[in-house]
Amino acid sequence: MSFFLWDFIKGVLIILTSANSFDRKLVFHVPDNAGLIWSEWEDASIVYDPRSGHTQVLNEFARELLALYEDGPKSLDQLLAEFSKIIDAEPDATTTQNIIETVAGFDNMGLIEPI
Amino acid sequence: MANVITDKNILIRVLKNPELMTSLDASEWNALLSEARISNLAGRVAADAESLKIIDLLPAKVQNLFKSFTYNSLSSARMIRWEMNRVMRALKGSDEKVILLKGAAYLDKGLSCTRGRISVDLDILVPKKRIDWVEEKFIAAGWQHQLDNDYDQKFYREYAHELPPMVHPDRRISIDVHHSILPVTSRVSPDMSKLIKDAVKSKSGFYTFSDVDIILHSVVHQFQDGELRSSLRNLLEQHDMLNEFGKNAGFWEKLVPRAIELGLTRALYYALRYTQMIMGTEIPDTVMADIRPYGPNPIVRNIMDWMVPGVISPSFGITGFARWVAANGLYIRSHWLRMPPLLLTRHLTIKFFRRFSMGG
Amino acid sequence: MPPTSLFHKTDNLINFTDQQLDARLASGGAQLEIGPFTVNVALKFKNIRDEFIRIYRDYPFYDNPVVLDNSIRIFGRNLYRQYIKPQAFVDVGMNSDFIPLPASMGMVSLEMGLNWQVASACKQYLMFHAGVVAKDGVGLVMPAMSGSGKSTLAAGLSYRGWQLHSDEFGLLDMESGELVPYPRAVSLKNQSITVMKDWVGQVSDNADEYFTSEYHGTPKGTICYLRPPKESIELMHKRTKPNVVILPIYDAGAKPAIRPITKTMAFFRMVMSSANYGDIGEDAFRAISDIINASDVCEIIYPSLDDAVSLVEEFVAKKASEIKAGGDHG
Repeated sequence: MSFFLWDFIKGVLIILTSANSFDRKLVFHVPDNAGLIWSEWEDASIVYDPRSGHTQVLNEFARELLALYEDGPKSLDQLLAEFSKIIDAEPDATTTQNIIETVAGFDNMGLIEPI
Repeated sequence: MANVITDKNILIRVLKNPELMTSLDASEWNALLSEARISNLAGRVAADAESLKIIDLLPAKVQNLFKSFTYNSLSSARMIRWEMNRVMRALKGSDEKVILLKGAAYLDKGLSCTRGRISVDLDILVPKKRIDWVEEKFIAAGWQHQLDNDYDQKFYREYAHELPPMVHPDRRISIDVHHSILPVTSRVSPDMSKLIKDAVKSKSGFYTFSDVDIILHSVVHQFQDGELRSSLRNLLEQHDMLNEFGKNAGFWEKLVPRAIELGLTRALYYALRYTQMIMGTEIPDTVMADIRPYGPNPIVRNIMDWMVPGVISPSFGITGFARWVAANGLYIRSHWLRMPPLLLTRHLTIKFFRRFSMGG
Repeated sequence: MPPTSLFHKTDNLINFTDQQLDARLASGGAQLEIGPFTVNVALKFKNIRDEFIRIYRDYPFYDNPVVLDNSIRIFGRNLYRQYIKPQAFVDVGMNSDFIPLPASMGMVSLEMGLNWQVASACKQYLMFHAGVVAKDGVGLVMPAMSGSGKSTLAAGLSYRGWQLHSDEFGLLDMESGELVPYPRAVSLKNQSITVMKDWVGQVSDNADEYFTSEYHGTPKGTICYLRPPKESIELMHKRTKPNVVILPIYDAGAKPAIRPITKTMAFFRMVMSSANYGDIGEDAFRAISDIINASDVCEIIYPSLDDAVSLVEEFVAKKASEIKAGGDHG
């Protein structure tokens, strides 16, 4: 499984590099005024953010992670805890790393913001 | 007081009285549209029609073009607001007083002059001693310097009043971080601590200058800095702000004294004179009387009266060589104000050589 | 319905003779209507006027002053540049510095100027860098990069019964969701010039009249312009909703094939092809989502124009029969 997001405006695959320094305790949310607009197709979800004017593609996994933030504010640690509850297992190291990179990507794009 | 050149101009007539749009013929429309585009005011004209609800009365072609202008100005506002959001994110966790300047400040305060306005960059100001810290934070958040040329970088850092412009590769907008509203080498150097002290915090978390200081800053750019290309737009924004702030209690009483305190009286003199002359701005007689002693001698004033209306738009009467003289006269004058003479010579020489060697 | 889709009945459309048109172009300019745009064209060079008249003589021109989208003026900056070593300076009325071209480049400077005006200023229509054609209710969009052969394919289809919207500027009215025809001269480059001369020659006895001279040594190699078919010019206000998206890939060594793509990929390519998507924002996102939802999508790979046209006809057949079955009330 790979998790990545395309920045459509530039058409370039964003390589998420800030994951290692990501603050696990900082609480993030999808801002109330974000007003994200979705187009969903069989293989991916496309989201338009009216505040940034940017369009991103999320694969199914990234879409689910963002949905968890749409449910309510949480830190990365809380997100990971919620995730293991959903899959009823501890995510392996690769999955955890992928989650962190995806969340860092959300932050870079402004889809989630620290409170 | 009125000026013949500008009173005849279709764009200025429509800006002063947007209702005129309902009675223009095709040739007048073509003249208006062309001048509005050149002066970067097409979005403003469309916004005026929108707010007066006269769009439906306009020719179909004009309605169609106005859609285009409106998308442009909305896009510009969205980009500026988003860049502000990203700046907030980059500086998260500090309580630094970050002051928005120009277009971003007008947007943040919701001023009437932002309707239909196009801004291409975001300007912010922080105290000089914090500027390196801000630069570090921006670089860490992915912004990059636009100038890769060492001389230009050095010029900015040593003599300008801002960091070299930075751009985040994900976005198209340039950000200028200032520590003063004028270059450090300028002969006029307002005490920045006074402006920063009076800045007010807004809902966005950013600060903006007080109403009086916002106008003085715009005025300084029009009549002391080098921005002559867009000056009809700047004159209009001053006209709008004088109208809007002028309704607030105490504004007019504070304006001239504050200009005296900051040493910006000459620029304010010109701004009040030309907004009144060209846009018909309503300014209390007492204010005009208070600023009058700070004007130039009558010879210079007459020259300015001839030059300013002639250069604020490329199409206003003065053409050819006379226009070149007027524009360059104003340019050298405003550059002269920005830098001591020796420095100015050096800067222009190096600019010249760089262009020369690039061309050859 | 937006009123812009109609001729302005009260304004005088006129039929110029070639001499009258030449005189207008040489003086204040002629007001030319191309699809949704009206532009005043003034040309100070005789050779450019001759080429212009050959390509645009069947287009609507206005007599009375009308509100213009743009003006374009091509002139020599002084007598030397006008007559002795002619250099065409292009004024597009937008504060932009155009690099002057030798006047012998003729139509290249005019077409580049018109491209620039539309590409940089038009936000009222969502714009795709795409070949767009229509037939019997099928609105076909072919987004592609330069060099993919989309211009040739769009032009090729237009000389086989399709209505040419544009070979490279697809326009969409976001309110009605319709494609807006903008049938300009088709710009052909290098080997596609021979292909199209052949292609048009198969259906016309006087094919030469449809082409300008060939301009050699431009930044893009040899360029030649082709006049759209007369029917496409007459239909320049007939709009169609987009319902097929095809990504064309020209490959001289390939076996012709239709290949499936996902809707996400089609969406992605439409966004990538749009010059004003970013400025328009939400309306553009919604419009492209709607197009992709309503469209059959695929990729075609082809070694020749003949193959490409067959593949297109094959792929749109399903949509065409759906539209036919949908009856006349659509």
